[in-house]
Amino acid sequence: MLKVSNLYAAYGEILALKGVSLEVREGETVTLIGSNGAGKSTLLKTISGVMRPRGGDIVFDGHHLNRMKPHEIVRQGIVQVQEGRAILKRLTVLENLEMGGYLRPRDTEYREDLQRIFERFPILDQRKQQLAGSLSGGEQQMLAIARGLMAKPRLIMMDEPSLGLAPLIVSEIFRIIAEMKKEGRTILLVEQNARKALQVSDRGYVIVTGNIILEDSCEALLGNSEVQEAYLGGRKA
Amino acid sequence: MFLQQMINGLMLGSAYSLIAIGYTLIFGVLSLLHFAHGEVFMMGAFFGLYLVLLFKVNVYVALFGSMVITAILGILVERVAVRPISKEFHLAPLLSTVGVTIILQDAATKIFGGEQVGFPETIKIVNYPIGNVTVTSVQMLILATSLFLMLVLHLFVNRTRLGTAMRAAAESGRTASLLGVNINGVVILTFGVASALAGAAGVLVGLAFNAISPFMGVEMALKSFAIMLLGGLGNITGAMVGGLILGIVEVLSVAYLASSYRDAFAFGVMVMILIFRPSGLFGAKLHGD
Ligand SMILES: Nc1ncnc2c1ncn2[C@@H]1O[C@H](COP(=O)(O)OP(=O)(O)OP(=O)(O)O)[C@@H](O)[C@H]1O
Ligand SMILES: [Mg+2]
Repeated sequence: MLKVSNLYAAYGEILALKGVSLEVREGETVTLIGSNGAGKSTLLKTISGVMRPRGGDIVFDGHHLNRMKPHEIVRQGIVQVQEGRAILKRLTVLENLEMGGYLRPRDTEYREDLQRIFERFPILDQRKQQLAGSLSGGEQQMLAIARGLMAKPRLIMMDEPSLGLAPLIVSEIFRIIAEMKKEGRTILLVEQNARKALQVSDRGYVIVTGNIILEDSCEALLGNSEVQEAYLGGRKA
Repeated sequence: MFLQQMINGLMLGSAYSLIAIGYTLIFGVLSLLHFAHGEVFMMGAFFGLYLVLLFKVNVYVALFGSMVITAILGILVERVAVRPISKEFHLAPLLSTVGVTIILQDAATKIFGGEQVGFPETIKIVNYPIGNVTVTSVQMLILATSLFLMLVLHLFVNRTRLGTAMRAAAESGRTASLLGVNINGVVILTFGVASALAGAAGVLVGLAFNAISPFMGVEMALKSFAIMLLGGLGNITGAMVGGLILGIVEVLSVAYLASSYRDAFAFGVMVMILIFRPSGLFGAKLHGD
């Protein structure tokens, strides 16, 4: 479904991606793990069109995304839930969700999706007329994910959805991701919380300073001693 | 007498509001001080005037026609003088719009002449006495038109999908684009709407004061810029209310103080407000956190 080959991206003269190849198949949940500054966000930003690739290719369902603008890529069915939530604080919760479905016709299916979101995230229903900036961090992250879902994406990319949240909320976020997976959604997940992320995913990639150094099933990665050492806090805790 | 002054103030202020809203819209979406916005206003006055002189249209057609032409002018300015300029150097787009100011003033002087001109007696002045206050038909037209335009804009920005996209883009262009908003489209729309409002203000001020000249935009732009600060950067409602306040303060200061201190007084009030409320009366709405 999504195929990234030999991708390069840079900030000014500094290369942040040095020939990254990665694949996400329909219905799969794929996790990308790596330490700070490894290039995880850069990869998602390049796929979603926020950054122009310096080389390589991004193909989604046979379409080359390399030269497309972000809004054109959304139209293709890829949605990015940005790092740090990036909700629109001056808009209401409901307006944020409506912006998630910006490109969709306001038909029955749209209204049903909105209804389903409110059932899944009751807190958003209660707060729908409030400014999104008044939500707590955890609620804002729920809103960011819910807004992504409102686009009815064929691929949803999430950049560190558990970042900076209390442990209870982190578990809640991963429960939601597991649920999304069960619904058959295609997910590309970036996480520092590597153990939890690998537990909810099918396959994983490890990125180090702009290079993918490892790709395997999640069980294999969870059992890999180097991965344990570097990303899972030593031998199985 | 006091009520009469209030009405005069509201009339002047509503014209300020229309221009300040345009400033605010453009600043919101692009973080750009559109220096030439006052000249778009000035061109709007001339467009309206010449529609009346050349085609003998009535004032409503002149108003609407001028709004359409200024919208196109504004979009052209964006296309030619804003979009191609690198945003990496913050002063570059600002300087570029300063250039447009000079070009439009020179062009207007060449085409329309440097003299002050006024509308012919297109709408006959009728005085409507209401109690002990007298309102002229021109005043009614100005008040009604600007309040109507502000209401329409308010509904557009707050109640439509495109208006919501505009607010989203004003808060974060990147986030809006990642939700599927075509940012270039929003910028074009913003310049079009802002310029049309300035064009309408141009025709209304032209009708009210019979003083259309290539240089009428300078003072207006300066005041509207101050109103934007007064209302809170990027705050549309703030710009509306701020404009009305300035209009009333100005007229009252002429009536009860000395007319030669009119602008000094108006700006004095603004400086005071900014000293005590740096983010404006209604709070700034800046980008990000
Ligand atoms: N806006 C920027 N300008 C310049 N360099 C940047 C910018 N953003 C990221 N970088 C650099 O690019 C590299 C990759 O950054 P990236 O944000 O992709 O890392 P990451 O894997 O997402 O890290 P984190 O886990 O901290 O979010 C880093 O070396 C970083 O310093
Ligand atoms: Mg990151």
